[in-house]
Amino acid sequence: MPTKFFGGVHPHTNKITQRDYISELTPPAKVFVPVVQHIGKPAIVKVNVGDYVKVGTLLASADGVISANIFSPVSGKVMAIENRPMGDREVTHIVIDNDFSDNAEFLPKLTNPTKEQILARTAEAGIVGMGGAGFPTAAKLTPPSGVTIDTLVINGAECEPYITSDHRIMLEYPEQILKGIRYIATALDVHNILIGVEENKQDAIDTLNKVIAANNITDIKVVGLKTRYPQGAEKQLIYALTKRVVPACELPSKVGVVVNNVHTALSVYYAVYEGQPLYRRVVTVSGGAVKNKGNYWIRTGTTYKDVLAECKTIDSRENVKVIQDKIKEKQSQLEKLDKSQKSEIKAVRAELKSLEKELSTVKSSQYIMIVNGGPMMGACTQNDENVITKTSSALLFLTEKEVNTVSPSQCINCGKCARVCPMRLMPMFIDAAAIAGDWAEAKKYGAVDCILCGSCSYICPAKRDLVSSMKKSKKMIATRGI
Amino acid sequence: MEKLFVRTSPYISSRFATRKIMLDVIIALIPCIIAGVIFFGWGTLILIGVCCLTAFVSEFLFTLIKNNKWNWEAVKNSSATDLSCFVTGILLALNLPASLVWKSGQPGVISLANIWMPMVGTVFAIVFVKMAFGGIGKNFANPALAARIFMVVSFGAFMGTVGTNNIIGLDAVSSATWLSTRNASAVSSQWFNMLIGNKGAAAFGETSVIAILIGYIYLSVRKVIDPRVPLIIIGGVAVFAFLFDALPNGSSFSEMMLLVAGHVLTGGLMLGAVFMATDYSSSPNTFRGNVIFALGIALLVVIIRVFGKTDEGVSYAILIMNILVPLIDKYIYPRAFGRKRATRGAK
Repeated sequence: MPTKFFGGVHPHTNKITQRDYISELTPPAKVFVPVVQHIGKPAIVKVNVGDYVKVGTLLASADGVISANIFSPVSGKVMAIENRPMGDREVTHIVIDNDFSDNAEFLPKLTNPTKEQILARTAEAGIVGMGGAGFPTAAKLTPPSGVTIDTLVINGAECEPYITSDHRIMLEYPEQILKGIRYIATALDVHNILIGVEENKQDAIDTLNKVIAANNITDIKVVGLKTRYPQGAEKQLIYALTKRVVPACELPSKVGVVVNNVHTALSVYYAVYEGQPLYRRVVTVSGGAVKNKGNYWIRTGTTYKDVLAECKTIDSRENVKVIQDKIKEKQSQLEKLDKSQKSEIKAVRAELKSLEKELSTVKSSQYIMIVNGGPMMGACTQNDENVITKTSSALLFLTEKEVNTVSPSQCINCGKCARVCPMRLMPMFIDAAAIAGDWAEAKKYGAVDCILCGSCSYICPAKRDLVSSMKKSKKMIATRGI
Repeated sequence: MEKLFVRTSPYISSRFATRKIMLDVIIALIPCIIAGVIFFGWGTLILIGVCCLTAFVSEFLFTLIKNNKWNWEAVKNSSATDLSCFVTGILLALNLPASLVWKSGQPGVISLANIWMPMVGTVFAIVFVKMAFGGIGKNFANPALAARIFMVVSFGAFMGTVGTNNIIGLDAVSSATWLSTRNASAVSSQWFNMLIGNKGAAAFGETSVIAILIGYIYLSVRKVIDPRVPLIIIGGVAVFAFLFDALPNGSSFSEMMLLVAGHVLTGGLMLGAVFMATDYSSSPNTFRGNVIFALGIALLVVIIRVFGKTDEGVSYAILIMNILVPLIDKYIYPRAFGRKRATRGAK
């Protein structure tokens, strides 16, 4: 039975890579490991330039509870510890030269671990929420005192278009995921576990159910969810599965629920059962410009450039230059020709025309945008030197055809944004208030409750940039204390 | 390497676009236009053409004069290109009597003597009701409706109900509207003509119920309008007509039902409910607000029809509720998911 929530949109899912088996992407020659791959304080660097590190060597250790350990994704020599741009800020990166020997140094394996051992291991292995937020899992599994958790929700909704990494791991690692879930449940001491999966992934639901039946598990239930964005948003997911409403500005633990992503569960399994810290993850590499689209195990710290070099573009950017040069050549040829040489002029013009046509087709297969994450909530960047982190579920290279490049026009007051808002806000009024600078008005219509899912901007016929108004309002309300 | 494109998320967008929505509305109006031509002759097309052209030219000139830029860029950016002025033009034309382009005393004979009246009305709609308040999305009332009332006030003698002059050979119907008599027996004998549109009408677009319903279904399927709002208006009119007109005036139950049917099938109710009350900028933004808005229209329509001096009240009812929309939007807005009523609000 599909369960649903209020509002939401149904973008074209574009899950091109859902049938591609997960494979290992060849690690790059050089990795750049940022010390911030999570929400919270940057980790403290523990290695020096010149040190030899193995796969799984601790590079930086957590600074407090809301922080996470960082591990080396490759074996080799630390070449530098330097500041590099990441998003809109500068972050310390540890640069390691890969020697391709893949010498590993893992943590000891745990058999039949106790609750305390599991908790210690999730912290030790640097596990964070891998759905995108990057909240340290160990902190999540230690609910504040006085709060009893009775339900564990595992998020396998994957409502964002393009992304298929969670879908593939549910198909290919169901036993491991269920074991990971068991460890998490042991750590929380809960016996009511719900796995929410959107119904467009029926094969994943069937696979999980088969494993559950084969192992006689009774307390884990797989629930099919209506395919609707943002089904995977924490509060919407909890409501769809348990009909509990998380109060505004509160964590899910308030209503006795903890939510974890399926990939987090898989990482917990690797950390506890195999002693493997978090140094790689499954990333969907997709988008119109990518030739070998697919789902790959990618080491953290791999630059987008290196990922694209492995996955190849459909047509390289150099090709554009070659054709442009050819066009210039023909044009100069045309200028040199005398007016009397009519047949030659005609021939050159025809060639020029076909070249221009070729150029436009080549250009249409070029990416104009790099998105880390899904197209609804991911972050886009101009810098292809940015790297894959623990929270990168997808890396998209989108072409002009896929991206909305229409500039916004005047609001026509259609109210579609209010109808799709999963938080029941009034985006058009918040947008108007943000333009007018009236932050109290923005707060009245619920700007602080916005989850930035982007449903309003997606549906808007005038293509207004409602999400940026929301972000601005949230920021102004927070800083000015309105 | 050339610079990559950067913007705020989301990066993909739905099929909806202002121009496409306006085009959908125009497509939904085509059955009404066809019905107008069938029952009132070719002159109706002249009215539509004149209103559309005037609407486009006046909006176009307004944007150019307002921005005081006279280059190709300004022409391309003019809001006149988003097709909304054509929606206003067609709607206003559909709200006019076909007799505006007829020779006086000779139904069906085309004469352009009064053609300046729809032009003045259209300029009023575009310049004073729509553009002066900030253009699309900002107008406080439906421009076509406001212009119709403006024309009724200014050229009242020319805006009365006219009989059909159909080109398919049906018996032509005389000019009186059913609402002036509200006679139950007329409904039972004329119900088929009322349904297809062979009836006297003050606005040639309101004549055919079937044509308007086709437009309604199209708009609902394309998700341009909320299909519930016209239903609430029409259902509300049926209920209030039963209470205020059928109960006091009907002698038997079947007569009461015929009276209610007459209220629903005649006048501008259908056209107003489907195309005017669902206008984006002059209707509330929430469904709950729309319910109040729709019920208000239904109540006012029946009150004006039954107790008022005029036979027809849909345009006045919608206009009055249009003016109340900011008030409805101020107080009716949803509680955010996870918020309790007491803790809501800024102050």
